[in-house]
Amino acid sequence: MGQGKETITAGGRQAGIRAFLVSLAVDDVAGKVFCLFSQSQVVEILGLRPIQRIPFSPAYLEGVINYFDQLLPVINLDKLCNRTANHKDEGHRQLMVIRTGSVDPTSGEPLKVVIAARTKVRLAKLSAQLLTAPCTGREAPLSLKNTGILRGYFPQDSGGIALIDLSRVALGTLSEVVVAEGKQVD
Amino acid sequence: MRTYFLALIGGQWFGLDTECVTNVGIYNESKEKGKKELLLPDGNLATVCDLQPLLGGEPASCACPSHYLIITHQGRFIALVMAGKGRFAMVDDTSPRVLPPAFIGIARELIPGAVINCTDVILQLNLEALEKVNDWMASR
Repeated sequence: MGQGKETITAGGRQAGIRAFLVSLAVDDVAGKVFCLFSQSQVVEILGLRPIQRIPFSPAYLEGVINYFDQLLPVINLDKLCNRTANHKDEGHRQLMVIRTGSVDPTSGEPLKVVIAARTKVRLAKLSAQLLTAPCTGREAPLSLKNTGILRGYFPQDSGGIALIDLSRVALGTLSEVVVAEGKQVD
Repeated sequence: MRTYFLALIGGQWFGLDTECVTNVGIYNESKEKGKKELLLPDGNLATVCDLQPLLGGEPASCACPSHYLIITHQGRFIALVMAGKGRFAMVDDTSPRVLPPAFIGIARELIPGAVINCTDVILQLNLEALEKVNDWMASR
């Protein structure tokens, strides 16, 4: 048996997890940080298409796109995770449609959002061992912690993999959460 | 179906009810950039409203402001800066889409909905909110 079989358990069931990784610029991390989305979260990866910008929306909301006659919000993760820093708009290469797991309070429809990825989305197979390994003592970077959307963080060599919850962004309640958490800290 | 006036602002289409459109005038950027009010030929004053800086990104050369769209609302006038002369279009607005809940506050007030026409998205403008744009911009 070769080394390539290391993600196969004795029972023959695959222990690896296929996931989509989106590159994320985090100011206080020297290495590469990726946002992880599971296969069941990802609806579709789209190429370039026009984004309608909405005046007076937060910087992390790029606008809306028309997706099968539905308006979906387009999120810039770099701006969402570094809200105090002034990030240059580097454009995007791909758009990834994501299920958020929350529902629209008025229509009751499941809410989807679109992630604007500035580099190509990577499909990776992560070993379960990697995701269950105990943390090495390094905590999640502060800028990510302060976003109010971080659900988990797996430190890697110099960067890490972040799990984020976009339901608050999709529901428009993110600012309330951040303000509330800020007050608690004070 | 309803007739809309479509204004091209920052490379995207905004739709307005034709009843509120009174005129279209030429915008001279070198003379009028930064102006807060515009004297109309009939002697009325219109508040200049430029949404383009709020839409981010570099406008394409064809989307540079070149005209004013004069709108009237409750006896007051607004001069909306736009690219090109705008156009009339018949739009089926029986089922306009509201913005996703991610958009809250002023954004939602200003853009109450959008009409999807094939691949195009026409954003509807709320005139009452449009009148407050300059105050909102000043308070940012």
